[in-house]
Amino acid sequence: MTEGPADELQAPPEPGPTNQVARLQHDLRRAEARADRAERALERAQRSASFVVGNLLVNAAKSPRRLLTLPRDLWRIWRLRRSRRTAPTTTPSTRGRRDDVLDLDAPRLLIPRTSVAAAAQGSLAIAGALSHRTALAWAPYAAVSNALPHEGPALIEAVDADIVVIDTASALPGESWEHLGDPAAVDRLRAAAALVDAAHAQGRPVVLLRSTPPSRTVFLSELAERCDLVVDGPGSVRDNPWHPGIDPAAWQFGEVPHSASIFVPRESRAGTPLERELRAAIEADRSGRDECSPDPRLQRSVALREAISKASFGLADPMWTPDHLLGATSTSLGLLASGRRVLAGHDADLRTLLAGQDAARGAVVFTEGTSNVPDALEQAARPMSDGQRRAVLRALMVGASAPVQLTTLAELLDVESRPRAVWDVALIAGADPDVDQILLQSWRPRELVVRTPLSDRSMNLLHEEGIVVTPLPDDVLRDRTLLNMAVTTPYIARQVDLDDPDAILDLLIEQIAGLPTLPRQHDSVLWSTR
Amino acid sequence: MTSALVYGDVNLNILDGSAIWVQSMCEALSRSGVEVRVLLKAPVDNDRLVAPLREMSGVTVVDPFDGARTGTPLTPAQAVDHLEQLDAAQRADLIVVRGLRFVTAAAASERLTGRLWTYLTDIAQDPLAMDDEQVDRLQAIARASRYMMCQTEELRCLLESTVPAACGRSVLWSPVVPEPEFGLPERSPVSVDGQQVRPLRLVYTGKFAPLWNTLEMTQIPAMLAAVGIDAELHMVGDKIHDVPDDPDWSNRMRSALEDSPGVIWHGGMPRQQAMELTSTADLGMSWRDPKMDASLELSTKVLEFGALGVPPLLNRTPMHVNLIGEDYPLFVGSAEDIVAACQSLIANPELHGAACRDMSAAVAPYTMAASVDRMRGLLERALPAAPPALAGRARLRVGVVSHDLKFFTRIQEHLEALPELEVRIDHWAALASHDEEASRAMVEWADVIICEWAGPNLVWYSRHKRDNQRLIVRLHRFELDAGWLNDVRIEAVDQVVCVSPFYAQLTAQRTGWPADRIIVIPNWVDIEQFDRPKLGDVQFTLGMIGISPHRKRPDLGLEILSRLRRRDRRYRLAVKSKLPWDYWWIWRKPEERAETERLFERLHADPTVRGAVSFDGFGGDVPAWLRRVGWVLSTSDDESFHLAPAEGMASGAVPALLPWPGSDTIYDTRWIHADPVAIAESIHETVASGRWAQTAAEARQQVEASFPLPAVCDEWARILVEDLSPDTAQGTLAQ
Repeated sequence: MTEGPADELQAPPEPGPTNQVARLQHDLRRAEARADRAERALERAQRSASFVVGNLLVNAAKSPRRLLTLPRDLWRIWRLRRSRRTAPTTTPSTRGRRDDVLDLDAPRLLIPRTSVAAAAQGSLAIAGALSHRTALAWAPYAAVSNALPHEGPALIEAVDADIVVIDTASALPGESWEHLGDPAAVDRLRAAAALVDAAHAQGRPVVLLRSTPPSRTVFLSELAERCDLVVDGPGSVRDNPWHPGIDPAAWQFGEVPHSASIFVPRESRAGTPLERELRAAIEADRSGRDECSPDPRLQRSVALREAISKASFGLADPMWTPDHLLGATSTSLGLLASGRRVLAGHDADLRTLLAGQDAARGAVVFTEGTSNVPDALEQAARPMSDGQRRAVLRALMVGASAPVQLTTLAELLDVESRPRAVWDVALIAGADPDVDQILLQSWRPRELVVRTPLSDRSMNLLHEEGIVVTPLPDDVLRDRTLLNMAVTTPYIARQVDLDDPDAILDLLIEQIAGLPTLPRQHDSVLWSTR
Repeated sequence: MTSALVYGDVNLNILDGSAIWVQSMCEALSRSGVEVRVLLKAPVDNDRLVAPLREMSGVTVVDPFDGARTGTPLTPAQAVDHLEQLDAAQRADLIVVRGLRFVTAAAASERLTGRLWTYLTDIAQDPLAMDDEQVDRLQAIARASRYMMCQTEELRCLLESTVPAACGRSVLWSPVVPEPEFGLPERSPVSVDGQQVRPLRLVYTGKFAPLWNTLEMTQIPAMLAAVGIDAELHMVGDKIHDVPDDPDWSNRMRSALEDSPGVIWHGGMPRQQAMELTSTADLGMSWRDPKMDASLELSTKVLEFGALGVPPLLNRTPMHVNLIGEDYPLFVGSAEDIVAACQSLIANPELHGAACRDMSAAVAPYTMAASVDRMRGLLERALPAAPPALAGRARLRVGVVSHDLKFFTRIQEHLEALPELEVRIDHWAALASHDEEASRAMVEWADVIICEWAGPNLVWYSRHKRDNQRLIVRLHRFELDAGWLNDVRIEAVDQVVCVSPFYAQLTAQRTGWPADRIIVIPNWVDIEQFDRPKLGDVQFTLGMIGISPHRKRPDLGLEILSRLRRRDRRYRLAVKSKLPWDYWWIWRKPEERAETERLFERLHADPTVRGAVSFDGFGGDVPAWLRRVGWVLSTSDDESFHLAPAEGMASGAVPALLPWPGSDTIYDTRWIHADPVAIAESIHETVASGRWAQTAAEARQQVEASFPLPAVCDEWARILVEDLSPDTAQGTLAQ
């Protein structure tokens, strides 16, 4: 309405007689029509399998990293061909005039050069529309490039991403894709679809991560159709559950304060009646406990961590997760990872996550109603024991940590990358190791270092489970520097008590979460090779 | 008397939503004083719906089947023929039509084009599902329409963002809630001091189908009984769906209706009787499967509950949140939620009152009375009454001359709609090029010439106009720097219209033209087009409309954002604009390129603004875009008027301007700040003190008083026949 027209008048009037202008305008219109047709043809060509495959071959020729992944990329293109075939163009047919576009390279100014994350060989490169929280959780384990709505396709072209993700949490208030999924914000939806098209033109798979309540994603069904994979995270429906994971290392704030202050999330203001009932009951019974809530003025994930760091326990967010929705939000998991108990009304996924670790169960205090809120508050305010904290971290590392979850995602998409490799452990075996015990470890070693050759049965078993066996001579085994150079993993564990199925995992947790080393009967030790 | 033709492309023998729409449309037109001819599509075999139409005052039912009870329904082409014949017999001022197939045919009719009021619901509701062909079809419909009537704000936004021609023509026409033909009963409280004193009454009316959760609903009374709440669920309806994938479902549903404890099944009922039963309930049931959450249409059932004073339990969908508000207490997602809601209601009866109030407020715009008001507004705008200045005069021939009518469109539409005027356009191919023959013909034909922009068009007409011809020019800004004004024969010009007192005074100084001919008519703001609900909490979102060339000073906008984000990271900046490289005459200037590179360098390097700016493209859908904006910045070095702040004010945003020359002759100094620091200070102080909403409301009142489209249009009608006072070029426009 107001935009631009006055400025357009600054274009100088065309010189020459009227008929010359008319002829030039006629020529221009014809040229525009030709350009329009050519652009549509180009868009169709760019979505074609031949173009995408050609693109992959060119990329492989340019990059050793892409050369290694080429066979899998080609296989994935074939496997995911349906979504590409069915997606119509996203370019609005209401094209503007093109006569004023002179510099086609100029839009590159939009791309933030510094935020384009470069992926090391073998690591996972992710680009897309990500919430700040998701990007932060993944950044230590993948090369993450977060696109803004206006720069999506340009960024995708500039970044050699393995996977493009559209995280619906990026549409929450204050996030960069705010309003995506609101039927009144058509431009956001188009921008997301353009992101999908750009990824497909590069031969990259696109994942729609629904990590918000269904009311925020109902209008994304057509977009979902165009994606190669739709997964549901906390808050979404239970269609295709996949937790984006948290970074356990990011939730370590040192000693939990004894102040009995309570973390109260602010995000589920508009909860269900059950949620409100519980919140009201807790508000009535919290008897003088200080409340720590995220400071809304700060960036959301920064504020969240700051608030949790000051609390001694916290409320789940949301308090009540109905069974048809997915729970175990990253706020709840962050609280647990930081060594704080969580008070929840109902959350089947939190319960399931901790079910495998007996000691972890009391870490979440479930009220299942309003009648026992006072007792539940008392229980939740008790400090977590060291054993309980370790049990919680075990469950989180295996079931909801970013590198593990990203590895699962890469497998789902046939992308050759193992983000969990950052936590791979080489185990130095004793004499005649019990392979069955090794395989029973909750965190299996990726590499087994042996002094003497193993039996064929053991070798076969380990090989089948993807564990590399590395024989090393004694002199190397005795010298930590040589040992660090000899193995391929970032961690080495030795003297591990294999009778304890969590032995390796516990050692790893001590490293990652900075927990004090437990005195152990065996002089078990795990160190970083980096 | 205003005359309307109505055709809904709907069989009025069958009671459904579109038939009800025809009825309510005719009633709204009739109650607005319009003479209506409604064309039937199919022979009448029962007059359940046609009879009430015939009884409406001023409504004539046109039966192309001459009373025959059988026959083939009209095809779209036949219906267009009939409408053209009816129009030829008596010209209609408006032709209200519905249904994509038929409307497509009607839009192709040369006779009907321009007078169509089109109502479409049967279009793709996801922009990604719309292909080029569909968009082209809608574009043709929009061009042929005086109004495109949209059922919801979301549908309006979708159309405007997808179909450029729909911008400015799209208006809301919401569903109309049927009025009860009985008095609403008084309900005694269900609980006293937290103790239940009578059974809680829940009601469901409608079909029985899996997606409507009707089977699950029958378990609710038992679930409530389990927590000590005595409840009865009244279920009305007799259509039990057969489910192909689950052949036994209908049997289970029927058994549940007959045998579930607490469920009272009433079977089918006439509509008014069902409404009467509903009105006795405490809560309505509109809890559905989440698969139903993605519709852009509003459930008339929900509106009906609201009109009957019965707050419904319903899903939290975007449409429901927009309708009732984020904080409505009876959003539910599961049977357990329903139980919890009922427990809350027993414990806290005030909750019921609050929900009733929320619903009553929500449905107020959907009553027939509100629809009649809305219809009168649409009629007034489409068919304006003659201003007093033109009354009793012979029909005036008005020629408008311009190479760019973007700022004149609404005024042009208004003048064209006045029966006292005949308007023709001399469209110049470019600023300085025109078809001289056409211009000479215009001189011969017109009584009044309006030159939009004081360009070479003014030079030519001032030298070629007839002596007895009135010549009016509107001068904006850039013309003052052009050399051609010296060639204007000013004695031939009757009135020089400027858009602000500052530019009127500057024009007088620079040109030496007689000051008594220089007057001010402000730019118009189509306030009704901008009056739309905001999308969520927008007080942290700043907006800039148009950032090219650099004199618009996007860098200062960034500076304001940076200062705000140092205090609160929720602040963001949304930009609706083409970018500098999209304009060849800007991008060829090295200084413009350098400034643009500097701007983006900061955008990427400065952590206070990085990731906090979105460039939302360019387009006519500004009213839809402003729904996400809480503040509109105007940081230019100079402007003639700068409509953006005014449009922002009309949208419910707060303006924040830097003192470009003349800004204080257009806008209240309250909105004008010394520098970016002061703007940031003022914005943050307003937001932090919780005064944003109040300030936005005050800004809106001010823009309504200062630049309303009807007043501006009236002034333009007046100036055609009489000189306006040069006093208008003094003081400020802000009211």
